Amino acid sequence: MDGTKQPGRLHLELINMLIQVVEVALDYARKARDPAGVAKLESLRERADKFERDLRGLP
Amino acid sequence: VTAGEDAFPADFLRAAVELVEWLAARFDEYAVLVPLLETTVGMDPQELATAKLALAEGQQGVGVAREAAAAALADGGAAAPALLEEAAAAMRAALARAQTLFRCRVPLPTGEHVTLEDLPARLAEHLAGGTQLPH
Repeated sequence: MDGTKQPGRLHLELINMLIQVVEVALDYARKARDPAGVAKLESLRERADKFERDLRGLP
Repeated sequence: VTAGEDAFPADFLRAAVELVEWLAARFDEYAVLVPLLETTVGMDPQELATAKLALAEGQQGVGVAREAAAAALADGGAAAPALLEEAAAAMRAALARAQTLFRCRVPLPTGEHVTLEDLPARLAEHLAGGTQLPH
């Protein structure tokens, strides 16, 4: 690490950012009526949510 | 970062790469669309300038994010924090530019203005209704 952040903290920041990007992308895909894009992005969001739960030690 | 205890999940990095690719694809689409706005009747010059700047900066940001995320993935999830942070910062910047683009307003032949993110749905409505498409 760079000495200023704990590993888990950096990872959590990155995962939260990924979730933020997915939410924006999902909103866009829904407005664009892109069902394939929505399905792919929902899958990505589920994976990101799981990463976050794992990192927080939640079930 | 020590592999194992602190390693970043490789699946997460793959998801991040997929997301960067999604953003890159949107910028590719807008790289085709934005030049067409130059000759669109009723296009606000300030909106056009904003769209062009956001496109240029977004393409640059997504390129950096793509390289950094790919490099982090190549490190097998044990990438240096600086690399991960570079990828995150680049993705955050690209996302902000994409959002700016999505919110740019363009004119329809009816005189109404819609955002670029609403344009596909409005085009579909025009097609369904058999009315004139924007040009």
